[in-house]
Amino acid sequence: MKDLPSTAYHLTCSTVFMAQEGDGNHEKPGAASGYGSLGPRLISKRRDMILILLRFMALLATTSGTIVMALNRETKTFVVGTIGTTPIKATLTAKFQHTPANIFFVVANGWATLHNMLMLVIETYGRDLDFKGLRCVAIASLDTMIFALVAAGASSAAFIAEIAKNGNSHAAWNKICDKFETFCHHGGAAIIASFVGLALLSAISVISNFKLQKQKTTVGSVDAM
Amino acid sequence: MTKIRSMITCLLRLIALAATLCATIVMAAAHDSTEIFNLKFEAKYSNSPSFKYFVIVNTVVSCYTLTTLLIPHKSLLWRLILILDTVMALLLTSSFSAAMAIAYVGKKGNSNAGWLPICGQVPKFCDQATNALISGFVAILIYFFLLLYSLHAALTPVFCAKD
Repeated sequence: MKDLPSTAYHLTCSTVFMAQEGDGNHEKPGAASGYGSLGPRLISKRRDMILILLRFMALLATTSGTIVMALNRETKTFVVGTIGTTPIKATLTAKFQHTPANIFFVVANGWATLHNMLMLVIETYGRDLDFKGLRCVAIASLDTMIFALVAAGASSAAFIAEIAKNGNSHAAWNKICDKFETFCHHGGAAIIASFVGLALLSAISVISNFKLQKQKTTVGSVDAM
Repeated sequence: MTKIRSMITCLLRLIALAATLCATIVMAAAHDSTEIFNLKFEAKYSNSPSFKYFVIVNTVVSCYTLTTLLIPHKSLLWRLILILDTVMALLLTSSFSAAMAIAYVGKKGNSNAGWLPICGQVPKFCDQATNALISGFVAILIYFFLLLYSLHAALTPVFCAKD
């Protein structure tokens, strides 16, 4: 057991829980598996199962938000006037790129999708990965960062959508949802999906931070600042 | 060490309080009016829901910061305050992002939607709103520094302790 003292305090979040619950049918903390074995581990802890389920649902929500908004496009032909008896038609296209807030929304949700995918892969295949004891910190901080990003993107797109739906009479900004109904419906669906993903991400972020606090109390002393 | 830590935290919270208060007051007091074709056109923060959201969130965060300044340093509430700090920072980010989106449309317009920029007609309101947004952004930066510092202070025992 030569490598045991050096890896003794590299407790990952999952092994801390296992040590606390007194479960015997998993590898002990600091065992020789280390970074070598990266196969899928048995997910038998209910807490880990819940977290993985939450991450999967958040992945679905952010993916659908990204894709629906990115493919949001509507072309409509309007009659703008008549010369004699022939009507003059103008074709207008509503794309999501016309509004910078929507571009930010797509980018933010895209990053959230990638983050969720990465976290799912780490939780299922990389349970032994421990970056010098920084695993819990990295996961918790990344979760919080992505939560902030999605919150910003979703709120900006939501307020722009509110102006598009209701107009703003004080600024003489007309509503456009009465003309481009499908565009508005798809955009609204994407924003709702993103808010659902935001709620799930908030739960995930809270759970990751609690895991971090638990790791802190088992390994070191509590400092009340 | 704990005294220096609490002093730095206190200082950061004071600056954050100042920034959020500044953002609230400047945005709430931003006002301009103009007359176009005998039509009085008044610009206030309450004309736009996202500016209202910005004012409300900054009020809430400044009240929260004031409350945390009054808590004694050795109490056990500091872990709850860490979580609430995260929540407040996220609220600030969301409100700033929403207000920026609307302010961008107000300044540059959106030619595809037929929304004309209004900054040409109400320049004073525009400037005051810009100042409020800058103050809000400074508040976000300070809050993130505060969050990072609190997390680092709370986690230092982890890396020092060995079994």
